[in-house]
Amino acid sequence: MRKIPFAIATVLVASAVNTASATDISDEKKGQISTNCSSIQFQLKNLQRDDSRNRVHLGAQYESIATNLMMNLNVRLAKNNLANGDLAAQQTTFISERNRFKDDFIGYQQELESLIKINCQERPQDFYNQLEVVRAKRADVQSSMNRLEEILAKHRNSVLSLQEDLTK
Amino acid sequence: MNDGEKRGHGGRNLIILGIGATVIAVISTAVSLNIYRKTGDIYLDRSRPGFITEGEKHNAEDDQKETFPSDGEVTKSAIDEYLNELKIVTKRINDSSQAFSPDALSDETLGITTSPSED
Repeated sequence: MRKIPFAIATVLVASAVNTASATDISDEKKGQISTNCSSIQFQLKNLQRDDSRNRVHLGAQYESIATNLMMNLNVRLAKNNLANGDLAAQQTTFISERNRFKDDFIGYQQELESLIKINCQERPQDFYNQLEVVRAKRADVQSSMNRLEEILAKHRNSVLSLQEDLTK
Repeated sequence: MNDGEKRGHGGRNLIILGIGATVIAVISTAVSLNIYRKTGDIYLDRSRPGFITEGEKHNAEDDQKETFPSDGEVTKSAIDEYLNELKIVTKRINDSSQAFSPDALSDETLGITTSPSED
């Protein structure tokens, strides 16, 4: 029987913590969200379309690098008995990071769609809380892009080293 | 059972079959669409109406032209060729490096800035 009040207290504390973690915005900001709601929704829908185009464009480039370049280079090296562990590992890392980019993009788009569905005129606070979630998800996509760029920079250096070895 | 009764049953069965087939089709379509949305494929599907125009589709296909033959010797010039192809694709990526910048969702961009005294 003692467990029931404890469970209720746990739920209440968890609920209080959850409420406190959301950013309370000023009345002025709430007013601006309500007033500019239709304009904000329009901007978000345009952004959603632009993001989809960018994803297609970037996805095509990443795919091209992984399959048309990195994989073919490793196959060619293997055929010439010059298989390079670093380059093979970079190909694997690049492909898994490219998959992560895709998953991060899906997560971001799902949250963005939830944001667009919120009636910002009537629920500005909920809208802003969800906006913060979408910002974090967008940052994840950007981070994934940055990591892919880093892998590419390392890959280029490894290929240059290989080229130097060949000329020795 | 006379011929009239048989014909009556046949008509009723045909209606039941039609309704049953329609119900199954509606349910399976709803389930498929739900899976399509839940898995996130909807956000990656380039054939989705209004998602991307025909011209943009062709541009994306053209973007994948760079390739490096998997056959042949590994020489300095072959590596040069590889680096050139890599450079072209990397440049395209760098041109889109700000594609997911945080600015697009900032308070300023969305027009929800407040006076300094409030925040």
